[in-house]
Amino acid sequence: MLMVVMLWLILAQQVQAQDNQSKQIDQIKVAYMANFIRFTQWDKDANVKDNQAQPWIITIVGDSAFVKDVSVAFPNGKFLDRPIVLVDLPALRDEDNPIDEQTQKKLLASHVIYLRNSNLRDHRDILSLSSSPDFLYLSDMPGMAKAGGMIELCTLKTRVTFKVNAKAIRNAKIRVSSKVLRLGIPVTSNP
Amino acid sequence: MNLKQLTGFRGSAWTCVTLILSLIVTTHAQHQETQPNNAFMNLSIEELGQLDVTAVTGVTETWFQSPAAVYVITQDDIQRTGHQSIADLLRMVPGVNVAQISSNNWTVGTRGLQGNFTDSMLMLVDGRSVYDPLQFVIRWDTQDMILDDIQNIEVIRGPGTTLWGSNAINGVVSLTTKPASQTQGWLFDTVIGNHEQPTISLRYGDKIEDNMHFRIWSKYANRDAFKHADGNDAPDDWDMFRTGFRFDVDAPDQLHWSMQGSFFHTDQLGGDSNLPDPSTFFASSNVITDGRINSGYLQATITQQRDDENKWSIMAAYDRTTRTTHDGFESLRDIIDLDYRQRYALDDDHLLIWGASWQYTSDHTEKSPAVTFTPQDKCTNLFTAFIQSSMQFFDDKLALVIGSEFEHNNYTGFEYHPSARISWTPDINNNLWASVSRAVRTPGRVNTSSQITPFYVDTGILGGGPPSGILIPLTIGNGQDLEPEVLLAYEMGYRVHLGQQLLVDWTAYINNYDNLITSSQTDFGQLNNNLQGQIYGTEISIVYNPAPSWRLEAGYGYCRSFLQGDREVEYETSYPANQFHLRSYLDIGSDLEINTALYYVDNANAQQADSYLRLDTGLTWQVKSNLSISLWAQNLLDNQHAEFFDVERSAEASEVPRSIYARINMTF
Repeated sequence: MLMVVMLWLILAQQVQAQDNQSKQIDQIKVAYMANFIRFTQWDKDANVKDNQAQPWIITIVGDSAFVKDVSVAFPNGKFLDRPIVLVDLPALRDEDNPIDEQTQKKLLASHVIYLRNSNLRDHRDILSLSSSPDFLYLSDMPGMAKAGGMIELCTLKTRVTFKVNAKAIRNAKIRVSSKVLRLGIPVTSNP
Repeated sequence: MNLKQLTGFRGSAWTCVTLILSLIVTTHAQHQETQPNNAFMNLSIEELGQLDVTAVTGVTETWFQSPAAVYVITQDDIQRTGHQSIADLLRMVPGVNVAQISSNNWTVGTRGLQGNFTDSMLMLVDGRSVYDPLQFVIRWDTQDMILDDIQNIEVIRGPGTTLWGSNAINGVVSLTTKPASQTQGWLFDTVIGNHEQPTISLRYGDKIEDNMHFRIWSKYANRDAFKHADGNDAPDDWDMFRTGFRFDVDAPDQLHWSMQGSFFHTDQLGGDSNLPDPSTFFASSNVITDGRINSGYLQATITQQRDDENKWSIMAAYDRTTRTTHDGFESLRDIIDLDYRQRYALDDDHLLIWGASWQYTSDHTEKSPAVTFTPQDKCTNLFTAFIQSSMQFFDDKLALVIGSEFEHNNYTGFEYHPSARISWTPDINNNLWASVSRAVRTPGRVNTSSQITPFYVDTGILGGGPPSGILIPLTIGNGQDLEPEVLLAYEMGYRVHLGQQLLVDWTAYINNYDNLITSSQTDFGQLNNNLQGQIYGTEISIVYNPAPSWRLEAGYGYCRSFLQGDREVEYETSYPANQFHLRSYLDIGSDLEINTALYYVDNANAQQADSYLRLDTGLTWQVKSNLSISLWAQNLLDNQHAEFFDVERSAEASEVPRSIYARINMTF
């Protein structure tokens, strides 16, 4: 009995350690996202996204728990003196139906879209929103940058880092600082 | 220096330090009220990339929490400062003095010690030492590569001897190149201007399997001469060709294999040299010649890294260099390096780092009229072993690092380099550290075996009588009984993130030196250990992001030397007391960058170098995602300025001229 309890305790401790680690990885990803927002400029002519009076709209697709991680990272719900509006989209669409108009509007109104699941269909849906998007598109999905996404957050060996598809960023109506491009791992889209 | 001066200086310095700390603490207290519930929110992209998320003791930040004066130059810094040599890149490190002696020769000093060569710092490229064991210096003219392939350069100011041995007495420059997987495809880079005529780099990277990547590269640089004070060209134009490769394999079980190599050639390393005139009493003549270098190395590394705290690596390297200097001195040297290092977590709070290395050196020399090595050939062995223990207490807030390196060399026998470091990190935004280290720099082949003949002297006059007409060479050097230089270094520092826009990194140090190697003022310049004293100073680095598209970084270094012994004044005045720089990285949209840097360096009388203000500015246009064009102007504020005059070797100083260049960088 004692052995079982000890094994259970050891197991519980390991699970706890893994939980803490993945929590910290998510916190680091949120900090990366804040830096990316800091080093991005939204097109002044195209829309109101550059308007300092407007809130930052950050849309999280596929992970409601992550919305909370983002929420607690910004004290007073503000970043760079602008309020933050978090949009939680657990799924982009039902199985066989196209994305509804309201979801499309929400996505297009976003400053940042963060795809948290590994659903390739969602990724394609986000890419098909615009050939010249005016949002910053991030994801953890492996191969996302190579598959036409902008910035892919990944764990490389022991560190959280990011891959950058410069061509995808350049095609967008946003301006990402070359600092971000230089510090990320360059990736080119699959033909 | 008298007591009044000493107390006066210390008083003003401590007042400054107190003011700075008060400002930091006050601002910090205000800032604490709006702390986010995410400890990483104040970290920059560079800092986030350094976090180890699998560490046994939780997330660690290697740079911010390290109890040492560390500065990291990133690829972004390299692109935004416009420097085209590795030595020049070090200008952005607070407190480090980079002085360009000629178009093809640099000297880099730190914390008050600087001669015409960099002899008190160690440089590592991917873990391989590039310190020249024949001359006991870093040769900056041979340190080059495609700058785009550099991942980062970590510069540790202060003793790094506990981990890296006796050559790292005053600092370590550790350059890490990108793995081959991050340099895939073609790169073409060319720089052309009034000094760069031109520099062309070409690289190709590809993969053999998903876990096997390689790159091959070549670089040719042709650089024009600097100017003499009268505006005429100095004889120091040069060109060089370099080619190399890197092959990486990610094997199962977190094993990583890497092999790399490079070959470097120049037969046009312009320069002049003072040679003794055998027919005239106490006279020398200046000759202008081209130096020649052929150099190559092969390096293999195997690493297994489960996380930052459980890692081992074996490195083996072979290096061969032949060099003919401007005075005709020829040398051939071979180096074999073997190095083993392991980091091992004993438990959650205790990390052990240990390792051992062997360096075998073989050289052959051919004398010139001015320089002779006796014996002409020599083989040496350097054996080292080190152990360092890191302990953490109070939820990792307090860290204690103690360790020592032990070595046996052919010149002074057994040496040891202990250090103790302590750091207090109450949260991820604050770090206070202090250290005490004992480090030695051993005399090397050049100090114990070389004789320099600057002049011929008349035997009659030498004996105190009338001239005899018989001239014999006056030979100096050959310090066979030299003792190692000993440093006892005390350092402390404080780092703080003040919100997401401001980072301050402050360091102070007191270095007590004993047995510094110098040349006698009375005994015809024979080498001895008759110089000792104290060097102290402070360094501060401030990073400020006033806007998303604008980054400012400032660095300041203050250093004072108080030495007693032979040539004390020369040593005391060989290093600038004040150095300051301000860099601005400004993005205009996503396509344009304006990057500017202002450097101020105080006078160094021993090098006949006045203080100077240097302004560099560059405009970079990102034409496409894979194509950028830059225009750079360097040294805008004056036509030319001297940074270092090597009076013993040259007839006239080479002055750094104003320069402009254009750069095209393309990947495909």
